[in-house]
Amino acid sequence: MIAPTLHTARLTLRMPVLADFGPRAEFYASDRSVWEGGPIDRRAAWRIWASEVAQWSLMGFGPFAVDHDGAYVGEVGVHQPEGYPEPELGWFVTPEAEGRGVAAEAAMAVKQWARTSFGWDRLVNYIEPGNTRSIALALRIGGQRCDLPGTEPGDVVILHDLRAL
Amino acid sequence: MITVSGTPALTTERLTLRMPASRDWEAYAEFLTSERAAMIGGPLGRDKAWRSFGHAVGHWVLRGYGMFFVTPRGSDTAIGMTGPWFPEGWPEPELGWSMFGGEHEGKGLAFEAAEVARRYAFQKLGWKTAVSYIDPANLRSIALAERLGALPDPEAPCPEGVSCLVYRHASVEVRP
Repeated sequence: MIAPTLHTARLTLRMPVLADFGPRAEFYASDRSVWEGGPIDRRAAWRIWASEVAQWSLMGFGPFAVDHDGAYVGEVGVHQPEGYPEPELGWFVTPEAEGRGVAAEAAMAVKQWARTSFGWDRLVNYIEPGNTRSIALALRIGGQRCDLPGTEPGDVVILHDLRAL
Repeated sequence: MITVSGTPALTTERLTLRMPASRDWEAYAEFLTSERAAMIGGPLGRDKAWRSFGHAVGHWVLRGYGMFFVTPRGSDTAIGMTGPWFPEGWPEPELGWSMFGGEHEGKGLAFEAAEVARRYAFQKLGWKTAVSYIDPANLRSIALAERLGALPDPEAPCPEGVSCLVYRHASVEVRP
Protein backbone atom coordinates (compact mmCIF):
# COMPACT_ATOMS: atom_id res chain seq x y z
CA MET A 1 0.00 0.00 0.00
CA ILE A 2 0.93 3.63 -0.10
CA ALA A 3 0.25 6.29 2.50
CA PRO A 4 -3.23 7.76 2.72
CA THR A 5 -3.47 11.54 2.53
CA LEU A 6 -4.27 13.24 5.84
CA HIS A 7 -5.25 16.86 6.35
CA THR A 8 -4.84 19.04 9.43
CA ALA A 9 -5.65 22.72 9.92
CA ARG A 10 -2.48 23.82 8.13
CA LEU A 11 -0.86 20.67 6.73
CA THR A 12 -1.21 17.88 4.21
CA LEU A 13 0.39 14.52 5.01
CA ARG A 14 1.01 12.28 2.00
CA MET A 15 3.05 9.46 0.49
CA PRO A 16 6.71 10.45 0.06
CA VAL A 17 7.97 10.78 -3.51
CA LEU A 18 11.43 10.89 -5.06
CA ALA A 19 11.52 14.71 -5.05
CA ASP A 20 11.40 14.68 -1.24
CA PHE A 21 14.86 13.15 -1.12
CA GLY A 22 16.64 16.50 -1.56
CA PRO A 23 15.69 17.99 1.81
CA ARG A 24 16.11 14.61 3.53
CA ALA A 25 19.64 14.33 2.15
CA GLU A 26 20.42 17.91 3.23
CA PHE A 27 19.29 17.05 6.73
CA TYR A 28 21.48 13.94 6.84
CA ALA A 29 24.46 15.92 5.50
CA SER A 30 24.10 18.58 8.21
CA ASP A 31 24.97 18.65 11.89
CA ARG A 32 21.24 18.60 12.63
CA SER A 33 21.37 14.84 11.98
CA VAL A 34 23.81 14.17 14.83
CA TRP A 35 21.01 12.54 16.87
CA GLU A 36 20.00 10.31 13.95
CA GLY A 37 23.39 8.73 13.31
CA GLY A 38 24.62 11.54 11.04
CA PRO A 39 26.10 13.40 9.41
CA ILE A 40 26.13 10.97 6.48
CA ASP A 41 26.54 11.41 2.74
CA ARG A 42 23.81 11.29 0.09
CA ARG A 43 24.47 7.70 -0.84
CA ALA A 44 24.02 6.45 2.73
CA ALA A 45 21.06 8.80 3.27
CA TRP A 46 19.32 7.33 0.21
CA ARG A 47 19.61 3.81 1.57
CA ILE A 48 18.14 4.75 4.92
CA TRP A 49 15.37 6.87 3.43
CA ALA A 50 14.41 4.30 0.80
CA SER A 51 14.15 1.65 3.52
CA GLU A 52 11.92 3.97 5.55
CA VAL A 53 9.61 4.64 2.61
CA ALA A 54 9.55 0.87 1.89
CA GLN A 55 7.75 0.30 5.17
CA TRP A 56 4.51 1.35 3.47
CA SER A 57 4.84 -1.60 1.14
CA LEU A 58 6.17 -4.01 3.75
CA MET A 59 4.19 -3.12 6.87
CA GLY A 60 1.39 -0.76 5.88
CA PHE A 61 2.84 2.20 7.79
CA GLY A 62 5.79 4.50 7.35
CA PRO A 63 6.73 8.14 6.98
CA PHE A 64 4.30 10.76 5.68
CA ALA A 65 5.76 13.68 3.77
CA VAL A 66 4.37 16.91 5.22
CA ASP A 67 3.40 19.86 3.01
CA HIS A 68 2.50 23.37 4.18
CA ASP A 69 1.06 25.74 1.58
CA GLY A 70 2.18 23.30 -1.08
CA ALA A 71 5.80 23.24 0.09
CA TYR A 72 7.58 20.28 1.67
CA VAL A 73 8.33 21.01 5.32
CA GLY A 74 9.31 17.60 6.69
CA GLU A 75 8.37 14.04 7.42
CA VAL A 76 6.36 12.55 10.28
CA GLY A 77 5.32 8.93 10.60
CA VAL A 78 5.62 5.49 12.10
CA HIS A 79 8.75 3.36 11.88
CA GLN A 80 9.68 -0.16 12.87
CA PRO A 81 12.92 -1.25 11.24
CA GLU A 82 14.52 -4.53 12.34
CA GLY A 83 15.59 -4.28 15.97
CA TYR A 84 12.94 -1.79 17.09
CA PRO A 85 10.89 -3.31 19.93
CA GLU A 86 7.68 -1.68 18.69
CA PRO A 87 6.45 0.93 16.21
CA GLU A 88 7.95 4.36 16.76
CA LEU A 89 6.49 7.79 16.11
CA GLY A 90 9.20 9.80 14.36
CA TRP A 91 9.53 13.31 12.98
CA PHE A 92 11.76 15.58 10.96
CA VAL A 93 11.20 19.17 9.82
CA THR A 94 13.26 21.34 7.50
CA PRO A 95 15.28 24.15 9.12
CA GLU A 96 12.89 26.71 7.62
CA ALA A 97 9.87 25.05 9.23
CA GLU A 98 11.29 24.70 12.72
CA GLY A 99 9.60 26.51 15.57
CA ARG A 100 6.21 26.76 13.86
CA GLY A 101 4.49 23.78 15.45
CA VAL A 102 4.57 21.79 12.24
CA ALA A 103 5.96 18.60 13.78
CA ALA A 104 3.49 18.75 16.67
CA GLU A 105 0.51 19.26 14.38
CA ALA A 106 1.55 16.47 12.05
CA ALA A 107 2.44 14.10 14.89
CA MET A 108 -1.00 14.53 16.45
CA ALA A 109 -2.57 13.63 13.11
CA VAL A 110 -0.37 10.54 12.82
CA LYS A 111 -1.26 9.43 16.36
CA GLN A 112 -4.94 9.71 15.52
CA TRP A 113 -4.42 7.87 12.23
CA ALA A 114 -2.52 5.03 13.94
CA ARG A 115 -5.28 4.64 16.53
CA THR A 116 -8.03 4.66 13.92
CA SER A 117 -6.26 2.45 11.38
CA PHE A 118 -4.66 -0.17 13.61
CA GLY A 119 -6.41 0.17 16.96
CA TRP A 120 -3.03 0.50 18.63
CA ASP A 121 -3.01 1.46 22.32
CA ARG A 122 0.31 3.23 22.14
CA LEU A 123 3.23 4.58 20.16
CA VAL A 124 6.69 5.32 21.49
CA ASN A 125 9.58 7.63 20.63
CA TYR A 126 13.19 6.46 20.87
CA ILE A 127 15.28 9.61 21.37
CA GLU A 128 18.94 10.16 22.17
CA PRO A 129 19.28 11.87 25.58
CA GLY A 130 21.04 14.91 24.08
CA ASN A 131 18.21 15.64 21.66
CA THR A 132 16.44 17.92 24.08
CA ARG A 133 14.40 19.66 21.38
CA SER A 134 12.84 16.38 20.29
CA ILE A 135 12.22 15.29 23.87
CA ALA A 136 10.47 18.59 24.60
CA LEU A 137 8.24 18.13 21.57
CA ALA A 138 7.35 14.57 22.58
CA LEU A 139 6.30 15.75 26.04
CA ARG A 140 4.41 18.76 24.64
CA ILE A 141 2.16 16.57 22.50
CA GLY A 142 1.22 14.33 25.41
CA GLY A 143 4.04 11.81 25.69
CA GLN A 144 5.43 10.59 28.99
CA ARG A 145 8.84 9.21 29.84
CA CYS A 146 8.74 5.49 30.56
CA ASP A 147 10.91 2.45 31.26
CA LEU A 148 10.15 0.48 28.10
CA PRO A 149 13.20 -0.88 26.25
CA GLY A 150 14.82 1.37 23.64
CA THR A 151 16.70 0.56 20.48
CA GLU A 152 19.98 0.95 22.35
CA PRO A 153 21.01 1.50 25.95
CA GLY A 154 20.50 5.07 27.10
CA ASP A 155 17.63 5.87 24.73
CA VAL A 156 14.99 8.13 26.20
CA VAL A 157 11.74 6.25 25.58
CA ILE A 158 8.56 8.28 25.54
CA LEU A 159 5.14 6.68 25.59
CA HIS A 160 2.10 8.08 23.81
CA ASP A 161 -1.14 6.61 25.13
CA LEU A 162 -3.52 6.41 22.18
CA ARG A 163 -6.48 4.92 24.04
CA ALA A 164 -8.18 8.25 24.62
CA LEU A 165 -8.03 9.17 20.93
CA MET B 1 1.31 -6.65 2.85
CA ILE B 2 2.16 -5.83 -0.71
CA THR B 3 -0.25 -3.75 -2.64
CA VAL B 4 1.96 -1.43 -4.67
CA SER B 5 -0.16 -1.80 -7.76
CA GLY B 6 0.90 -2.44 -11.29
CA THR B 7 4.37 -3.77 -10.61
CA PRO B 8 5.38 -6.27 -13.23
CA ALA B 9 5.99 -10.00 -12.91
CA LEU B 10 8.22 -11.68 -15.45
CA THR B 11 8.28 -15.38 -16.20
CA THR B 12 10.81 -17.64 -17.83
CA GLU B 13 10.75 -21.36 -18.44
CA ARG B 14 11.74 -22.10 -14.85
CA LEU B 15 11.36 -18.85 -12.92
CA THR B 16 9.07 -16.04 -11.84
CA LEU B 17 10.49 -12.58 -11.17
CA ARG B 18 8.51 -10.10 -9.06
CA MET B 19 8.81 -7.15 -6.70
CA PRO B 20 10.10 -8.09 -3.23
CA ALA B 21 7.53 -8.39 -0.43
CA SER B 22 7.61 -8.77 3.33
CA ARG B 23 7.47 -12.58 3.04
CA ASP B 24 10.92 -12.49 1.37
CA TRP B 25 12.63 -10.97 4.39
CA GLU B 26 13.87 -14.16 6.08
CA ALA B 27 15.36 -15.58 2.88
CA TYR B 28 17.08 -12.27 2.24
CA ALA B 29 18.31 -11.98 5.83
CA GLU B 30 19.78 -15.47 5.69
CA PHE B 31 21.68 -14.53 2.54
CA LEU B 32 22.97 -11.14 3.71
CA THR B 33 24.07 -12.39 7.11
CA SER B 34 26.02 -15.26 5.49
CA GLU B 35 29.52 -15.38 4.04
CA ARG B 36 27.96 -15.50 0.58
CA ALA B 37 27.26 -11.78 0.97
CA ALA B 38 30.98 -10.96 1.19
CA MET B 39 31.02 -9.95 -2.49
CA ILE B 40 28.32 -7.31 -2.01
CA GLY B 41 29.50 -5.66 1.21
CA GLY B 42 28.43 -8.27 3.76
CA PRO B 43 28.00 -10.26 5.83
CA LEU B 44 25.79 -7.85 7.74
CA GLY B 45 23.94 -7.97 11.03
CA ARG B 46 20.16 -8.35 10.84
CA ASP B 47 19.52 -4.64 11.43
CA LYS B 48 21.72 -3.58 8.52
CA ALA B 49 20.39 -6.45 6.42
CA TRP B 50 16.91 -5.07 6.99
CA ARG B 51 18.03 -1.64 5.74
CA SER B 52 19.36 -3.34 2.64
CA PHE B 53 16.09 -5.24 2.15
CA GLY B 54 14.11 -2.06 2.71
CA HIS B 55 16.35 -0.32 0.21
CA ALA B 56 15.51 -2.97 -2.40
CA VAL B 57 11.79 -2.46 -1.76
CA GLY B 58 12.02 1.32 -1.44
CA HIS B 59 13.89 1.54 -4.74
CA TRP B 60 10.77 0.07 -6.38
CA VAL B 61 8.47 2.43 -4.52
CA LEU B 62 10.50 5.54 -5.35
CA ARG B 63 11.79 4.80 -8.84
CA GLY B 64 9.09 2.44 -10.09
CA TYR B 65 11.55 -0.35 -10.86
CA GLY B 66 14.24 -2.28 -9.03
CA MET B 67 15.60 -5.69 -8.21
CA PHE B 68 13.16 -8.45 -9.10
CA PHE B 69 13.11 -11.25 -6.56
CA VAL B 70 13.44 -14.59 -8.30
CA THR B 71 11.34 -17.61 -7.36
CA PRO B 72 11.18 -21.05 -8.98
CA ARG B 73 7.88 -21.44 -10.84
CA GLY B 74 5.41 -23.17 -8.59
CA SER B 75 7.13 -21.88 -5.44
CA ASP B 76 7.03 -18.49 -3.77
CA THR B 77 10.39 -18.74 -1.99
CA ALA B 78 12.94 -16.25 -3.28
CA ILE B 79 16.24 -17.80 -4.36
CA GLY B 80 17.88 -14.67 -5.70
CA MET B 81 17.40 -11.24 -7.21
CA THR B 82 18.25 -9.44 -10.41
CA GLY B 83 17.14 -6.29 -12.12
CA PRO B 84 17.59 -2.65 -13.02
CA TRP B 85 19.20 -0.82 -10.13
CA PHE B 86 20.01 2.87 -9.80
CA PRO B 87 20.50 3.97 -6.20
CA GLU B 88 21.85 7.38 -5.24
CA GLY B 89 25.62 7.45 -5.79
CA TRP B 90 25.70 5.10 -8.78
CA PRO B 91 27.38 6.75 -11.77
CA GLU B 92 24.86 5.16 -14.12
CA PRO B 93 22.07 2.55 -14.10
CA GLU B 94 23.10 -1.01 -13.32
CA LEU B 95 21.86 -4.49 -14.04
CA GLY B 96 22.47 -6.36 -10.77
CA TRP B 97 22.13 -9.95 -9.65
CA SER B 98 22.69 -12.18 -6.60
CA MET B 99 21.78 -15.78 -5.90
CA PHE B 100 20.90 -16.26 -2.23
CA GLY B 101 22.16 -19.86 -1.82
CA GLY B 102 24.86 -21.97 -3.42
CA GLU B 103 22.41 -24.80 -4.09
CA HIS B 104 20.89 -22.73 -6.89
CA GLU B 105 24.16 -22.16 -8.71
CA GLY B 106 25.44 -24.08 -11.70
CA LYS B 107 22.00 -24.56 -13.28
CA GLY B 108 21.85 -21.46 -15.43
CA LEU B 109 19.14 -19.94 -13.24
CA ALA B 110 20.92 -16.62 -12.65
CA PHE B 111 21.53 -16.34 -16.39
CA GLU B 112 17.90 -17.10 -17.17
CA ALA B 113 16.71 -14.49 -14.66
CA ALA B 114 19.22 -11.77 -15.53
CA GLU B 115 18.53 -12.12 -19.24
CA VAL B 116 14.79 -11.53 -18.86
CA ALA B 117 15.40 -8.69 -16.36
CA ARG B 118 17.79 -7.05 -18.81
CA ARG B 119 15.25 -7.35 -21.58
CA TYR B 120 12.75 -5.62 -19.28
CA ALA B 121 15.19 -2.75 -18.65
CA PHE B 122 15.85 -2.22 -22.34
CA GLN B 123 12.38 -2.82 -23.74
CA LYS B 124 10.05 -1.58 -21.00
CA LEU B 125 12.18 1.04 -19.25
CA GLY B 126 13.82 2.19 -22.47
CA TRP B 127 17.37 1.91 -21.19
CA LYS B 128 19.97 2.25 -23.94
CA THR B 129 22.77 0.70 -21.95
CA ALA B 130 23.50 -0.72 -18.51
CA VAL B 131 26.56 -1.66 -16.51
CA SER B 132 27.21 -4.32 -13.92
CA TYR B 133 29.55 -3.45 -11.03
CA ILE B 134 31.33 -6.63 -9.97
CA ASP B 135 33.83 -7.36 -7.21
CA PRO B 136 37.04 -8.45 -8.99
CA ALA B 137 37.14 -11.57 -6.78
CA ASN B 138 33.60 -12.61 -7.75
CA LEU B 139 34.53 -15.03 -10.50
CA ARG B 140 31.05 -16.53 -10.79
CA SER B 141 29.56 -13.12 -11.35
CA ILE B 142 32.20 -12.24 -13.93
CA ALA B 143 31.44 -15.49 -15.76
CA LEU B 144 27.74 -14.63 -15.77
CA ALA B 145 28.41 -11.13 -17.15
CA GLU B 146 30.45 -12.67 -19.94
CA ARG B 147 27.81 -15.30 -20.66
CA LEU B 148 25.30 -12.47 -20.96
CA GLY B 149 27.53 -10.90 -23.60
CA ALA B 150 28.59 -7.93 -21.46
CA LEU B 151 32.05 -6.53 -22.14
CA PRO B 152 34.56 -4.96 -19.74
CA ASP B 153 34.42 -1.16 -19.86
CA PRO B 154 37.62 0.09 -18.24
CA GLU B 155 36.67 3.72 -18.90
CA ALA B 156 33.46 3.58 -16.87
CA PRO B 157 33.72 4.75 -13.24
CA CYS B 158 32.78 2.61 -10.26
CA PRO B 159 30.62 3.98 -7.46
CA GLU B 160 32.80 6.24 -5.33
CA GLY B 161 34.97 4.36 -2.87
CA VAL B 162 34.21 0.98 -4.43
CA SER B 163 36.79 -1.18 -6.14
CA CYS B 164 35.05 -3.06 -8.94
CA LEU B 165 35.07 -4.24 -12.51
CA VAL B 166 32.56 -2.59 -14.81
CA TYR B 167 30.88 -4.75 -17.44
CA ARG B 168 28.72 -3.04 -20.03
CA HIS B 169 25.57 -4.47 -21.58
CA ALA B 170 24.84 -3.18 -25.05
CA SER B 171 21.16 -2.61 -25.71
CA VAL B 172 19.20 -5.33 -27.44
CA GLU B 173 19.02 -3.38 -30.70
CA VAL B 174 22.74 -2.97 -31.11
CA ARG B 175 23.84 -6.33 -29.79
CA PRO B 176 25.02 -8.53 -32.67
